[in-house]
Parts: sequence; structure tokens; C-alpha cells
Amino acid sequence: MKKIENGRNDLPIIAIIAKDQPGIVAQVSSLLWEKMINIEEISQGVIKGNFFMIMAVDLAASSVDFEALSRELKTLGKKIGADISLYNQRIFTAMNRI
Amino acid sequence: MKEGLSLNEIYESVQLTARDKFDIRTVTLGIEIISCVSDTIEKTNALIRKRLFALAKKFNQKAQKVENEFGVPIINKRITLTPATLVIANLFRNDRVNDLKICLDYARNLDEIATELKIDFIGGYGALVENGTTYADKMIIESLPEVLSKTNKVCAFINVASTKAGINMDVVAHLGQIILETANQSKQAVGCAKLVVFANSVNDNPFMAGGFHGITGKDSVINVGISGPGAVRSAIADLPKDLPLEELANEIKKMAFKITRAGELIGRQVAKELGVKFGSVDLSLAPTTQVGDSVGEVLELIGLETVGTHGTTAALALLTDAVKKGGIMASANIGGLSGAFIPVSEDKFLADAVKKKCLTLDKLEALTAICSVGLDMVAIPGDTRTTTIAAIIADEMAIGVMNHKTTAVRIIPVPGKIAGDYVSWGGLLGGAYIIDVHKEKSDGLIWRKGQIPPPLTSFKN
Repeated sequence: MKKIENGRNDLPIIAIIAKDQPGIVAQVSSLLWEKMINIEEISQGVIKGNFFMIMAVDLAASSVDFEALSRELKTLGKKIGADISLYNQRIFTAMNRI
Repeated sequence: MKEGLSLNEIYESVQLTARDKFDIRTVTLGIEIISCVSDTIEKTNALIRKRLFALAKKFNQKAQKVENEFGVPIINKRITLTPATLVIANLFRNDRVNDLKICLDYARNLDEIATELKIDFIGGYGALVENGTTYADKMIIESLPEVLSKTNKVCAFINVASTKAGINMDVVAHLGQIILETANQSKQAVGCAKLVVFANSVNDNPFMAGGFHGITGKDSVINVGISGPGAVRSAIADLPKDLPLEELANEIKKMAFKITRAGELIGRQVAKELGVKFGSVDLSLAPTTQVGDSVGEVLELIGLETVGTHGTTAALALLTDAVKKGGIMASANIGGLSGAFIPVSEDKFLADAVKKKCLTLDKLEALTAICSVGLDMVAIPGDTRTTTIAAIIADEMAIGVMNHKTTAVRIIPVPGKIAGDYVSWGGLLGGAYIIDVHKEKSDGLIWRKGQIPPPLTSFKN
């Protein structure tokens, strides 16, 4: 599995879990484009039969904050049949590293 | 990401909340309130209100913010306070009727504050009486039936035993009566669900109903109780059924590490947001009534047909120990009770095992030897003798005292119900089948009263 080695470790992470991939990436990217949110890193794969993608995003230039984006992503996820959540990256580091 | 996390690691972490129901069972704000003592109950109540609002006004809002940011639900927000007996002793006037009214006024004030702050429970209404009772302790104990039936969010504890002091059997005998009275005064005996009787209670327990803010601690502190039976279940559910036990223990340790790390991060963040110190993470595996979040199910996955059968104690020993080892590796701030919880009504598999008569009161007592709150949310027949209730408590206390560990009883005699009946309380408290108790009396032991002396092993100086 490819490791995400570069970039900042304080960026919010969008995690997408779905059964099928088609259209999902475009829909999420489109939402981020509308909100002027930069995508700094993307990684994706199929894990245990699920399509899984993470995006490290930068909200600096955007008018929406973390909580607002989180709500919008949840709503979009429900619409397109994917589980989309926004996380503070520190939770993943805490759980997996000492 | 600088830490070089793999996609797989992130996927597993995301699935912990999305699929495995991992949550923070409670973030508990402990607050010292001896500094609020004044010369009347009205003034004392006003000072407590002022202090709690100053510290906890934004507790709910801040916890919600942290929950959103880290994607891990925080199920309960609670407050623990200095033991009530220390706070209101000064207000008593040796007038029983008046002093019991002071107790109720004090508890009602806490109930109102908790409701206004949108706090799930507020703990600390209790006393530490293992060495004997003061007049104030007696008032607190006598007030329990009324306080627990007339308030909704106030939780009570009485520590009746310790390894150093032995067991105060005078209070144990009295509590048999108090618990039955509380059951009779509250709807479906639910008042009893808010009272925990302890041996070797701890000062930083974030869980209810027994949590209180110990007098040796800080002014205010955030303690965290993680949940996680669902997470442990997912760690072992797909493993081969013939995997040797030491390897199974390792898988549980890895999962315990992850959920403890998440718990500490979230606790520290809430503490930072509120401007209070961070205390400890309690490693107790705490089940909920949700499907897939059961300690009983984890025990069955280890290899039992039904929890409660022979081998249950061994399986729980493996589970509890592995959770502790993983958790202790993960954090330097481990505290609270940190042993598995087996609250019968709050855990579907345990409740079902009682229905099948596979899980008995005697087996639950045995399990106490290796977990913290052995007789927890256990419903017993409403016509159980008060001396039998006291004897059940005494057995549980003896296990704690002799083994230098915390043990506790939260037992609920349900009026009008007999063994095999079902009672439902709803919400986090769930529902339970009434478990049978021995009909043979223990009156002789209980009515001797006095003190069971501390064990030889407590004399180490």
C-alpha cells in the first residue's frame, strides 16, 4: 500500500468509503471546487471490497470552516450513496503511532 | 502526512467509528466544590451553581465541537463532584427532618443545574464510610430513597469497604433496606440504577453512577471513559477460530491501544477547550444496548456457546488483561476503574444469557474477581429480603477487599417482579430479565453488624 509521506500533517482529511467508484470522485471534487478548497493530496484504493479514498484538503482560501464542510460532505454522501466524513488528521496519527 | 500513515491504517481507523461503533462513552468533568460551602443551604447551592456554570457552561458545546472534529461520537457528558457528605455536613443541625430536607434541597439544586447545562448525569452524591459513619454520612444514606426517586440526573455512591479498613457491615446491613426502599419509591425501581456501592472506590472514575471527584485531586479535571466492545469485536470476529489464545490476546491489545489513544486525544482536546486539566483515561470496556457493542458477544466470540457458561471467567480474564496491556502502552494517564464492565441490562448478550439461565448471580459474582463492577445493573425479584441484598453486597465487597481491587454493586430489586420476568428502563439503561437469588437466608451474618476486619495482606508497613 502506498504511504502518504509528503505534505503537512495538520490538514483536514476527507475519507470516502463507497461500494462503487463511478462519479463519486467527480462529485466530491466539484463540491471542493465550489467552496474554493485546495486538494493537497489524494490517495485511493480498494480495501476489503470497498472503494476507499482520502483527500488532504486546505481550507485556508475557503469561506467554509471545518464544521460547515463536514456537514456538506455528509449531505453529499447521503445523496450519492457513499460514506463521506471529514477528520482532523491527528486522530489517525494518535491511533496508529506512539 | 509526515507520519507516513498507510491508506490501510486510515481505513481501519475510519471504520472503527463508521462500522464498529467506537465511541467515547463519557467525557466527565470533575469539579471540587468544598470551596462552595457556606452557612446555609441556600447560599451553598447558589455558590455551587455559580461555580458549575463558570466551569461547565460551554461543556456540551465544546464536547460537540471536538466530536465533530475527530469523528468519534461522545455519548455522555457528565460532571462529578466532591462527595456530598463533605460539602453539606456543615449545614446539618442534628434535626433529622430538617437535615434530610437539606439533603433533598442540595440534590435538587444539582439536578436543576445538570438539566440547564444539558449534562447527562451529575455524580458525587455520596459518602466514604468504610471506617465508620459520621452523622452527615448517616443523613446522606437515609436520604437516598427520596433523593434518587425525586431527581433524574443525580447519581449516588457509598464506599463501604476498603482493603485497609475492611467492610463496614453496619452500613451494608442498612443499605439492604435503603436499596429496597429506593426501589419501592421510584418508577420500576429505576432509582437503584443511580446508586453504586463500592469497595476500594477510586477518585477519578468517569463512569456513572459511581463517579465522584476525589478530595486528593485537582480543582477541576477532565476524565475520559472509552467504550469499545464493538471495536474489540471487529478485531477478533474474522480471526480463525483455532487461533491460539496468546495471539488472540495480541489482537485485542492492538485494538485497545488504538481506542485508548483516540480517547486520550479527545479528552485532552475537550480539556484544552474548557481550560481545565486533563486527568485520566479509564480503560473499562463499557457495552451499550446497541447491537454489536456487547462485552458478552466478545466473550462468546472467544469461544463460548453462551456467556455465563464454564470458561466465562477465563475468557473475561484474557479480555480484561489484554485491554489493560494495550491501553497502558498507549497512554501514561490511565486511571478510573479500568476493568471490563458487565452491566447486565445494558448488554444484550448478557441480558439474553440471564434469560436462558446460563448467566447466574453466582457467576456474575465470580466474574467480579477479574473485572471492576461485577454486579452491575442486575435486576432481582422485588420480594428479595433486605438481608439478602446486604449479603450480596457483602460478598462483592469481600472480593474487592481481599484482592486489593475495586468492586461494586448496582443492584435493582424490582417491585412486583419475579425471576424470569422482564423489566425495561429504556435508553442507556436498557432492560433485564429478573435474575434469581438464593432463598436461603443470610440474616444471622447481616444482623451481627460490626466490621469485617481488613485482610492480613493490607498490613504492609
